Amino acid sequence: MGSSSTINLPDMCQQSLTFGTTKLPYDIAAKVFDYLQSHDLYRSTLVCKNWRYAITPLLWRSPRFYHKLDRQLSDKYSAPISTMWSVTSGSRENAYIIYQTLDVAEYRHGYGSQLSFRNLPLGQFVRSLSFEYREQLVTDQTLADIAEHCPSLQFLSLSGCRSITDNGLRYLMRGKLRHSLRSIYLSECNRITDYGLALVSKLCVRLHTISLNGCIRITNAGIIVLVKSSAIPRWPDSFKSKLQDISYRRSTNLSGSTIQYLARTCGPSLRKLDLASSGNIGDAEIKAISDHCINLQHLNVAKKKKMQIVIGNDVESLPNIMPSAQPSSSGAGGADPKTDTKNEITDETIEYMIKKLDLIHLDLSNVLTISNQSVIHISHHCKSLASIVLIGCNNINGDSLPYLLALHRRFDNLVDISFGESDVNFNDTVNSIEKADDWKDWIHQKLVPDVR
Amino acid sequence: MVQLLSSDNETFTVDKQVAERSILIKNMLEDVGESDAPIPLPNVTAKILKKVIDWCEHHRGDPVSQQEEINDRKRLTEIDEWDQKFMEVDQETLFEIILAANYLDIKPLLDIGCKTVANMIKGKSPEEIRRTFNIVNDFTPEVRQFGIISHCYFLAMLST
Repeated sequence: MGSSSTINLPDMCQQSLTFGTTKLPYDIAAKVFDYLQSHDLYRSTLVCKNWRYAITPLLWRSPRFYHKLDRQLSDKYSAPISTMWSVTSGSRENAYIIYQTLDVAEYRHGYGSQLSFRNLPLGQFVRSLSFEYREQLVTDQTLADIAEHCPSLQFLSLSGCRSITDNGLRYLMRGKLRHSLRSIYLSECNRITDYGLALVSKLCVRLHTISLNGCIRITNAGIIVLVKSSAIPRWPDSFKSKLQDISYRRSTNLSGSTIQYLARTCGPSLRKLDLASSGNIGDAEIKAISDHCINLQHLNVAKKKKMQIVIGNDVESLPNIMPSAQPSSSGAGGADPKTDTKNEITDETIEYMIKKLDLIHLDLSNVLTISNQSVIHISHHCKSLASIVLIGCNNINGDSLPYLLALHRRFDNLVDISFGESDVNFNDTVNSIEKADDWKDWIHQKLVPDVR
Repeated sequence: MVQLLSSDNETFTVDKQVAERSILIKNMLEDVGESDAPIPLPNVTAKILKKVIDWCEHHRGDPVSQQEEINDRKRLTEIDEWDQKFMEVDQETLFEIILAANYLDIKPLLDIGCKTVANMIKGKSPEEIRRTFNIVNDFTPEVRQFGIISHCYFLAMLST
């Protein structure tokens, strides 16, 4: 005990790890433990003192926060806990050690109403934090604590933490982590406004992944600031912006010109763009994306499902009223979002796009204006395509399936096709196609739910 | 052809392409230029050097800079068959290969070595790990009883 209280960090990192007779330098040993999952790491901390000092910081790279009543924890760790228990002589005290060890990384102090980071011990080692849907645990004060105690955070997920406001983000950006943060997930944080987003995008110099799904208070202006502040004007054209991954679903008021601006500015750096159910995506936007974002791999431009006569589905029906109230500022492509039918994705656009982009994932769900012709184009040009989603595309029918099969045969990349929920029944085609390959397994047909 | 001299003074003659799998040797050759003098490798014994050269011979055609896949941890612990066979050696040799790979700067070999060790730890209880690597359990009884070691350590961290 005496020796353990005097140890400090620099000593520990210069230490080597003993493997029997051999000693591995700390940096090599760290590589070994990088390959292990956290429960193997916990068990490794129980091996000997030397290992515990060396491995504990690694556990803290991505601590997880569990509530005492979480089923998850008991399910996930019951097996390791019981095995360790039986090995270490099986007394109650030993069980206690094990829970203490879990606490190290699971951090189960200070639950109650909210998390307190005041006594977060190894905050400097923390690289990633995930608080998905821990609404009641994470408040603006929590973000202030994170900013203070986790100076080298790289990944932060606050998805579903609805109590966070702009103030919280302001606290967060006071910390040193703004220099290291690379990914931030703010999905469903619907109290965040353009102001908070502007803070994040201006101060996080290394940010490359951002998720804003369902942040309804963020407007076009916010997105423009985000894109603008990520751009580095002096860099050569090929590296216009740092942003690689933007996800902004269910953004009813995102205008066409904003999307075009985003495509122009982010340009070749963009790898993934997810704008599902974002209203105003049409020909002009797709063209802009295909002209500028030449390295795009993952594109989701699924439309919102057309209104059906479904009773008591307020959540679906509400945003549908919204878009017409928010006309886009003079669209560069001359697209007019006011009339849904005018600004649509056509077969020609799809053809144009896939000739320019080498996509891996493509989601065109509920795009009613494309037909089998698009699928034929896709099957001719998309060499790398691994998954395609065409749910609810009423104008695409089973006749196009053989083309996709041919694509699969030619390049062996395509492994996932999702179809269905349309008026057309695919079963006949699927059945009629020869039973070579086990390709039925990777076609997911979403059947029309039986409403009546 | 390049000549390599192990720590116990044994000379190995290998193809330049094979030797250049080691970034250390590659840089040396670039700095020194063409020369017939053997390159001394004082940290590697003949036994280990032979193993390392075997590995480099087999992987001579591999692309040199492989893209790093950091996210896909699960797949990462998979080792291809030949390498698995290659790593079927006693523990001491395994660790020496890892140290040599680190010294010679052969990243793929280092990775395979680390994966092999990681696989030896994976899924084992602390006692089994101790037995595998011949490690003595040095937790004092009172620490074991109260489970306070981590907390002592954390308090130390906080006070410094």
